[in-house]
Amino acid sequence: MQESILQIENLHVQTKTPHGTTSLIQDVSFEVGRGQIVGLIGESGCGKTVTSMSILHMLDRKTTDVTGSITLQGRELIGMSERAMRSIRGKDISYIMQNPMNSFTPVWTIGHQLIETIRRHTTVSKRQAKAKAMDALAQMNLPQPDKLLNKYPFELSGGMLQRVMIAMAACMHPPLLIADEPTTALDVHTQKLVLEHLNQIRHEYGTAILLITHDLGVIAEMADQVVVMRQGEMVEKAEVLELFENPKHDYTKKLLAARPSIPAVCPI
Amino acid sequence: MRKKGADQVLNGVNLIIEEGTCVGLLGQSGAGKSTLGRIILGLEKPKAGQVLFEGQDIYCADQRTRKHYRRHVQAVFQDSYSAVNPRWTVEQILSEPLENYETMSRKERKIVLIHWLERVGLSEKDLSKYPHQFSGGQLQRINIARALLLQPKLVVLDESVSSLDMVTQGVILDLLVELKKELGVAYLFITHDMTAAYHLSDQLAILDQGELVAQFRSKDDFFSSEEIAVQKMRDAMLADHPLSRTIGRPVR
Repeated sequence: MQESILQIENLHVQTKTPHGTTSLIQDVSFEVGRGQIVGLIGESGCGKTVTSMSILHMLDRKTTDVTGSITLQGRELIGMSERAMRSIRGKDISYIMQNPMNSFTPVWTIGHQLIETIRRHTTVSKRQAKAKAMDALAQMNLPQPDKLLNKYPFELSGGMLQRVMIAMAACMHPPLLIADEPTTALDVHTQKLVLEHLNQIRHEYGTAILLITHDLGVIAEMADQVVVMRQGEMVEKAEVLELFENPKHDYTKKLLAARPSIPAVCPI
Repeated sequence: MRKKGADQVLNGVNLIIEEGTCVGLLGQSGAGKSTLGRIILGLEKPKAGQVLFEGQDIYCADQRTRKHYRRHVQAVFQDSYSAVNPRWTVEQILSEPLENYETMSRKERKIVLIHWLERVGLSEKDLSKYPHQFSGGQLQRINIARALLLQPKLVVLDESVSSLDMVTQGVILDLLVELKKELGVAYLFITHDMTAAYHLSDQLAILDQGELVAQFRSKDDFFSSEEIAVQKMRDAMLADHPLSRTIGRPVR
């Protein structure tokens, strides 16, 4: 096993409502190694996103209660101060959301937002940051990075924005990248391109990727390890091939059978 | 049914949908799939060309034909929440088409509604609920029930399952297949998801930059086609098993 980047043990998340506490996550444990892609699957509402939000401390502290242990490269994240967390988000952990249209501020240019991220975490001049931003965009094969920097989010298509988002997430070379349904909002053509970019980052920087999705195609293409969740519980954890060849849990079998697949006529 | 569009969005499109068949309309985003759907629904008048329904051009038909057309061509869209009035109960939502086209007493109507709710996997007690009390998949079932309860001849399904998770997608697709068999309704299934299109459709049509580049009478021809747009589409398909993956680390 390679060096472990993220380790989650006995994670429990509870939320307080006027009618008492409800448990969102029960006893989830898994780890993500360096350069590894771990897929997190399950149907909507099973707690995939809550798991990722608890890693980033993005759940409301007043109403939710996170217990267990989340360690990032040996550092315990649970109980960490908000201030310390801020310098981890974006630098040590990047987050890619499902809808790229909502993850940029609409009133600022792409360049402004990229440069802000870079300067927040490093001590470089504006000019150096700009060069770095252009580099990051070029890495993702985005055409004309200098022009792109002056564009506003609404001027780009969804697929394009998602690639800019990945460039932004990758430019700090974070040890961990959380991609929450990164391709669900994109059409199939852009989907493959975006997945290839994610794979490229993993190879180039050894970034560990936690890939949250409900699309088994994405898992089949990308994941090394797979964690299956249902109603806040982890039902199975296996190597990707093992999971597809002989799923242990009934729920995994149900998931694998749920999606119609194209019969083997396709000569790809 | 036949239509010809002009302008840049759609260019010389000829498409025939036969009774009781499902045509899957595939294409990249921006290819004009939804525009074609809107034209067929009678929402957007094409610059040139005709949409013929049972032999009548719907854009220059008289009032009665148009009413008949609107009854028999229904739609289910991608976003189930924005397709319903959030302040209405399910009963009100489902009653609207019946009020418009049928004369029946409240009691009769309720029987029809309960029948349809059960048909799509919901129950009588859901009648008094509001849209926000449902999940996306459940609400999409209500949209399907609303589209089908007048027993239309054609339903335009514009990315109707795209925003749902895979389990719900599978269930809704199965439901659509079943209802098609039972009612003999035709579908125009607009999507960019080839697996879903393959599962539901009898025929496939490929739209690329406003032109209908290929049309397959049998969906299996899709895999042998040499058309560039079709090849591109096949290349973009994701593996359905880790052994056939093309992106990640090889598993063996």
